[in-house]
Amino acid sequence: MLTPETAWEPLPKEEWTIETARHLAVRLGFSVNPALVAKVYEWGPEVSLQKLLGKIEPLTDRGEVAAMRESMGERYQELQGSNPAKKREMRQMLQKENRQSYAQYGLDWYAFAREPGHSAQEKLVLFFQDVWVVAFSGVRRTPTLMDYQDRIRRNLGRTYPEMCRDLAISPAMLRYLNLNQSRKGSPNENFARELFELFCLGEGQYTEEDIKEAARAMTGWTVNQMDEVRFVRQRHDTSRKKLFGETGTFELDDVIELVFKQPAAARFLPNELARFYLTDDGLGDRILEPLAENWRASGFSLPYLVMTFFRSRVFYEPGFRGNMIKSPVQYYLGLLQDLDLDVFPSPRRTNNILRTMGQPFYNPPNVRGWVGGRNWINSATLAARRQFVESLLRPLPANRLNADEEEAIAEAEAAGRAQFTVDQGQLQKLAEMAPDQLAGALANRFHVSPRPETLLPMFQELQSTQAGPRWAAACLAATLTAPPYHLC
Amino acid sequence: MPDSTFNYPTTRREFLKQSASGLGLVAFSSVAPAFLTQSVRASVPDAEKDRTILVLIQLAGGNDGLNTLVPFEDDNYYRLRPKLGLRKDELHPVTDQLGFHPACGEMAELYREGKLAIVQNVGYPNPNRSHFRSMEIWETASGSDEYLTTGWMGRYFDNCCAGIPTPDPLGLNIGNELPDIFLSGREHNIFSLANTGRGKRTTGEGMKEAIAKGDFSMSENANFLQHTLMNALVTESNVLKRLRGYQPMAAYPANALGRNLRDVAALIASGQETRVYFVSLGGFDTHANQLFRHRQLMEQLSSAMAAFQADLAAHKLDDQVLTMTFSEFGRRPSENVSGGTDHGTAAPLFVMGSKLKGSLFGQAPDLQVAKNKDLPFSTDFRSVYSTIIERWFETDPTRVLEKKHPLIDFI
Repeated sequence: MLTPETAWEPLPKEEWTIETARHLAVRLGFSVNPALVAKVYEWGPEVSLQKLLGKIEPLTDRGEVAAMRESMGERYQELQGSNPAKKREMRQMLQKENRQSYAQYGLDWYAFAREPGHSAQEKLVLFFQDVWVVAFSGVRRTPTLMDYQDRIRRNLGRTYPEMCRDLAISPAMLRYLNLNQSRKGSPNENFARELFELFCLGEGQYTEEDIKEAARAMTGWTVNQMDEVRFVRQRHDTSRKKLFGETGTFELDDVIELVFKQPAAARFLPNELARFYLTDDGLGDRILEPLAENWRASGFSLPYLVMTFFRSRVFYEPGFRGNMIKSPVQYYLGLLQDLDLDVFPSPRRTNNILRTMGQPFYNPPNVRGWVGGRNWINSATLAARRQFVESLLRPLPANRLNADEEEAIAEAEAAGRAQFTVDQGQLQKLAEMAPDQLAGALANRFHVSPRPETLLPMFQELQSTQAGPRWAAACLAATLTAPPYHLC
Repeated sequence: MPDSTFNYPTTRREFLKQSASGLGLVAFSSVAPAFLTQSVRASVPDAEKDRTILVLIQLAGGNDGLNTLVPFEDDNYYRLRPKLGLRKDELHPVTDQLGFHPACGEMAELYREGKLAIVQNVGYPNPNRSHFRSMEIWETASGSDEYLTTGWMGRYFDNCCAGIPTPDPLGLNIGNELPDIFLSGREHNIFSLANTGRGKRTTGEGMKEAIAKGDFSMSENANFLQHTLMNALVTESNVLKRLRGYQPMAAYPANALGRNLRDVAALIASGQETRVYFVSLGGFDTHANQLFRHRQLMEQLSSAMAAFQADLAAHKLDDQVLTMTFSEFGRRPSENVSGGTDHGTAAPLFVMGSKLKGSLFGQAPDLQVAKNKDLPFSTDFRSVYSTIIERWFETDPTRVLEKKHPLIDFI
């Protein structure tokens, strides 16, 4: 039984096994692909973290999205000066481009995150996107969303207060929670409330009065059509505010500083990290306290927090292994990595799939982000997971591809990233195995906590309806849609 | 096939009597989740009222209320809609002030027969003009400043139907994504029937039996997953079987909504115990060149609703079913320069059934609004929900909606 004192000690060397290595691989990233697990096992926790998170790389986006990013500000600017009819036309064009580039951005991101070298970093980015939520539906500008995600990446190696400041005055957040409309005389409390409740402290750690005062302190920030952020002193409320018991002519930076003086600030993010990576229920204040204390002492360093967390004994507790329901992103990217497949470069078989699984790209339902856990699972989302698996086991329907898709596939082939479905020859090989042999092979290959005996009766049952490669395909489908594969 | 060969069960009791042996579930009895088999094996139905069923038709994108139900005597309407305004002589008048869209002849007829009620100018305070958020507000029945994680139907199930074993889904959605309306605090049998690829032969063949054979009791989440997976597979095959054998007794229009409502009628007629059905019609986000597109949508809505009602009546099931339309918002009273309308606020909604009282409710919108301003709502949508919960489902609405809202007398 771990105590608060022992929970955050590094995992003892003798407990580092292939099982704990699998756990780290799938939680830090998306997959238990044997090639990856073997490396992680060889490296050990500390080196694995250095290898997989040591160097943060920018998203490689395709030229077209970058080009839109370049020209968009100016075009929004131009829009301002136009007559109403022209304005409408331009706005519609921009909307269309935004939708298209949003789809492309999604594809680019999936492809980027699918590269095993980027998976851990991008999952960490997802985590912060799920704390500091913005959504396409509220921002509606693809370049602005990309900028926001870049800011998260750039801040992964810094401190949490630094990240908070950078995100607070980003064009995306200024728009998403209306801080850009907050001015002297009519402060908007939206951002102040979520800064406390959802980003830094948690419910019950502040008063309504604190929100009102913080909202006044954060007035004056604007963002223009070019996405340039400015602090306009005339819009700022310069009077004195009383916040968390202290009084002063506070501004946004002061609010963030005061927030991090609160005891809850040192526990909040570590608990969010535990809820995202370890257990839906979080860990509770008692266990978290020593980590919180040290994290505060480190100046809220994010690398310190992440390193400590993933090396800790509590992270490897047997009760926390193999029991988390995979998010759609985890399921989708994990499947591709587990099967060594590439991201299909068209929204129809990628972005749309994630949407029917219940997690549209960069578009959570509201500022609270995804609810997650069992909420990922219902008959519609399970059917979507099943249908996607089945589509990977059939050859591509060549006669049902449109011209854009054919072009994108040709491009992917040239880049050597065009393995979109399971090689039918592989199925032939699997079909030659006996059911118990196959159950062992597939459980070990795909499940985080392999239990071949759970698969065997399924495979035997499937023999009564199918034979040969069709039977092998059905067994593989069963392995990838049965309960253990939805867990990590 | 003559309908006399079928006696459609109208109560759960009758249904269970008729089909006690025919559910096909018993084959899984050793492995199916308990609540799937309990009521079949027991075969003794609880005492209960006749089933009341609610069918929700979502008009996704924001329906233009002003061009659905036109206030043709109001000069403001033509002032706000110089190009989009519909001429009085094309409309189907329902009062001396109001007329239905030219393509809504069937709905006007239903109105005159007392089978369609209009609730005018429905909305909520501090309206949100984002599709996503406003739909979430309607589906979770929240205020515009609160975020709820359960839907209003999900909460109804939590309060009224939890613990009652049902082999059939309590809520059924036709479409590829489950709407928030069914999100619940407790676990219920909710099923989503995909629009596409239905009944396609897949590697899923035999999967149901296979999953049933697995032992996934190793963890709570694995158990939950097996249970939900089995449930979905069993329900899917039952539902598809019921759909295949159906003989409609009205001519449905050959469009998506017509097909979906036909499926709903089939499931109701099969005696399936579902209480709430959800279907969606998209395409209402008419920012540009609205006239033609909106006409098509109105035609589809009107013809499909009328066929559905006629089919239910012919099967003598119309007394059990209430149908309601809703949309995330109405559209701006002023037309825009692209021959369309932008996101607005309040709009009328329609309730259809054979047990309605009266037909026109709520206050008509006041069109004395400045250019590009929105309509202030006059009836809160939660009043409509409260009425349905109290008078149709005979349940205390405050158990679902927290606050009390004035009821409306359409039932």
